[in-house]
Amino acid sequence: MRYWIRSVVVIASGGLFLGQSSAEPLAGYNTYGYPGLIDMPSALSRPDAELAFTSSYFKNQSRNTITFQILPRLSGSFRYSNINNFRREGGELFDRSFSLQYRFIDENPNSWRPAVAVGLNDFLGTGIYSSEYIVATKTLGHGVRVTGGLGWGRLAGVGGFDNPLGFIDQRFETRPDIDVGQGGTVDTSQFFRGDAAFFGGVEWQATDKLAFTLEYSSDDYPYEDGSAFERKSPYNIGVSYQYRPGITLGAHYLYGSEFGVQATFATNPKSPRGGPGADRAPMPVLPRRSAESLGWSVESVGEDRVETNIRNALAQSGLTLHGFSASGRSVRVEVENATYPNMAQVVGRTARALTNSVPTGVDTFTIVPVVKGLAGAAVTLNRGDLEELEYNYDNSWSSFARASFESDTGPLTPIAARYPLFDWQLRPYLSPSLFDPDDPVRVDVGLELAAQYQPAPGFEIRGAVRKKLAGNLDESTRESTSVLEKVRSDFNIYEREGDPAITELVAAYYFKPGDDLYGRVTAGYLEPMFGGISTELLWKPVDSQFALGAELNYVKQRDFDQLFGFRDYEVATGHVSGYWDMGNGFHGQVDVGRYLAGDWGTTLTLDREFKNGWKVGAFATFTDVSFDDFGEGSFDKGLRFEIPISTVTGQPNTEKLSYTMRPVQRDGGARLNVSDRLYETVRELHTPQLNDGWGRFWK
Amino acid sequence: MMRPVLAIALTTFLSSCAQLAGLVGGGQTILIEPDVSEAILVSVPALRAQGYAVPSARVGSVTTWRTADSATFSFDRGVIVSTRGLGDDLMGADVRQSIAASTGGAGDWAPRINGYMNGEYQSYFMTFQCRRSATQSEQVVLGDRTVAATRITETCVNDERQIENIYWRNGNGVMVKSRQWVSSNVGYMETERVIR
Repeated sequence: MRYWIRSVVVIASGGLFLGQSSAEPLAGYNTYGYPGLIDMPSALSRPDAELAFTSSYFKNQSRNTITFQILPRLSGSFRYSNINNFRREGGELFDRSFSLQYRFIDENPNSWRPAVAVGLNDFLGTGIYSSEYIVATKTLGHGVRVTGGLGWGRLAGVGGFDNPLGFIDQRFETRPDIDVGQGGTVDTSQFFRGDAAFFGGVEWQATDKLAFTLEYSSDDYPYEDGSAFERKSPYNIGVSYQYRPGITLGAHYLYGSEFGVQATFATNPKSPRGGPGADRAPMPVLPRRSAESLGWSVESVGEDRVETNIRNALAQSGLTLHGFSASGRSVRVEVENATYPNMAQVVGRTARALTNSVPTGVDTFTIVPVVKGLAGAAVTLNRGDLEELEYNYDNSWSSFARASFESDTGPLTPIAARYPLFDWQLRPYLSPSLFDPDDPVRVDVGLELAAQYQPAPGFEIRGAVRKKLAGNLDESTRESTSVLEKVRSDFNIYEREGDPAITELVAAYYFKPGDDLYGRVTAGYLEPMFGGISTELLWKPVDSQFALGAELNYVKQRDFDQLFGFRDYEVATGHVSGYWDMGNGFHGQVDVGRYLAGDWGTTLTLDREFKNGWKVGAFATFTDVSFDDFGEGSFDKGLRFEIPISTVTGQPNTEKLSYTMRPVQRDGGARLNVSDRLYETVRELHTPQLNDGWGRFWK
Repeated sequence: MMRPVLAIALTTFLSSCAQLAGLVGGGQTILIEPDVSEAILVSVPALRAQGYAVPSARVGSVTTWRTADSATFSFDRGVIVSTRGLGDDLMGADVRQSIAASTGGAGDWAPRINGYMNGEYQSYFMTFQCRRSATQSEQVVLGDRTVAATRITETCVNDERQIENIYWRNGNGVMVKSRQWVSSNVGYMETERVIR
């Protein structure tokens, strides 16, 4: 018998999901990684939600940019540049900058009306790329489109003339010098000020994959011309080639003197490589008329035997039975998941397993997913509906509509075999460190040994120890210049001395103190840099888009070697948090409280969340620490990404790749990194998230 | 200074790998003893996959066939209504029209609805207008045997594509061979009854 080749399935099904199918015209990415021509902007956007990494290089200058199409009209970019022989600061410069572009008029293909966009560059950093623009792009046909715009700041370096906005207010005519201070603050006093200049270009999409661009650049490279390179002409020409869907390569001849290259890697969280997933087929629903061997009632078969049958059927489905109870014609099953990316699929596979294991007189299944001894929604399904809807074209929504979702109020009824439980894992880890000017990318790889012991529902003792195998995180010698308590900025000493390191060793208790309430107490070595006690209470009704939480911690700073000792600093830290799932793909969070360095303030977080679990977000923290005391960057901020591994591989998996990227790590606005905070733990058990993932119920 | 660039790309790549190392397979076996006297040979050229499948469940008129490594194909009276394990699976379908057409019913246009799931795990549907476009008698070679069958061609169209399903039924109405369209990425699958 020949076997199906699974890897082929994944590649074949995944490959096609990379493609874009969009009727609207799309911009390319320019050397700054935002939508544009070669060095100049254009008015078009990229497909909604596209996440792209662009790397460009020409003489003495490299730019590495992450751009996210936040909304169909709005894109945001974060850039890390390296310039050699930069005149203003002298020598080699590493610089971080942000860009925003907003398309406020759409092109009308049936009239003269072009797309028009406005943009801001480097409004939050040291301002070396500081510029603003308004730009229009019009498609002429035969793959040709033209772009023209008006630039300010750096984009008014060539052919500048008096600011036309001077008609509105004379103050627009001069661009004030900026006081960059520690960087990181938005300086609106420069916006659209000073001379303005025209820029523009022509693009020709010669074939599906090949495009040529000619542009006139109004950037005179004031700090680079004559030192980093010779700027001899305002004209640039470029060619770009789509090597594969999502990968674009470019080459340019720039400013009459230099060749440049660029590459863009783009992906879209809406259509990741794994597609809908090449999960192995689930157990078919077994109709009651073919299931006489399962017996008629739980009483007649015996609860123990039914429990064993359910356990076996769940085990074959990659799931674990946590609790079981039966009454009359219904059963209630608590289930734990270590296999599937979302709880809707867990409920679906459990339901299928129950049709294969529960006596035929039982016609109602109540399925309660359990995580860390906590239950959220209890999903009640009618056995007849499963038999009827399995092959229905609209089975997903039909089954969602017929299911009932309630808050699980009852105490858990764990089966005898569930507790106590001991488990351990040995796995590789990778720990990167970005943006150190001495070496912008450092990384350690090693092995992590983790173990958990669960004596009773909600109780857990767990720990993890890491042993580095290779890497260069310990090469960082830059000493902290912080005037605050060094709660985070000594991170490189921890990396140097913690080998091996106990990254976590705690006892934790998770419980439900009342209706819609969840509680957590964690004590021990909470994270690499702090130990102590952490307590949390969360209010989150099962069908609610809102949640409120409070966290109170008393912690002491750990020794650099990350073994059992402590340093002198101790602090009470905690927050009140509000969470709001806005229902339109955006999620907001506000935390107000006291941070690790004893500073008081607020963290604002906004994420775009996709129903397959991808998240792209940004956060900023403002505390009573002054921008000067905070140091470089002025306040804590960053971007965060979360990618479920299953969406990339197409294979079922509960792991997520999470990464929080800070331009710089300082001590102000720093929070404790305790694991298993309640909101994210509980959220996947609740109705809104079950609803979002319900497509997988029948997968 | 290409070094930071390469390093960032490498870091991204390696961090994916670190996670991949922890992959768990969703290995499963079949609960119900299949009726091993029956089998079909299924192939999906676009996935370069081929294998034998045996019945693993029957619900009403739908039979689900399972391959050795857990891909399933469910047919309602021989017409595909659902697949699993192929990636871009057919999640469910309304094929009343196709059943009527393939059993020699009236040749009028009638709707067919296929249900799918996208990469964001949301359902979407593809509707077609279908009709029986050709019928002829044919000798079909199955393994080392030749069987008399009726070959019925069903043509389905919508604004994006045209598909052609071909069904061969023997004198008892049993589907002995078929070529049926599954989804955009899976394309056509072919089935052949294994006669022993």
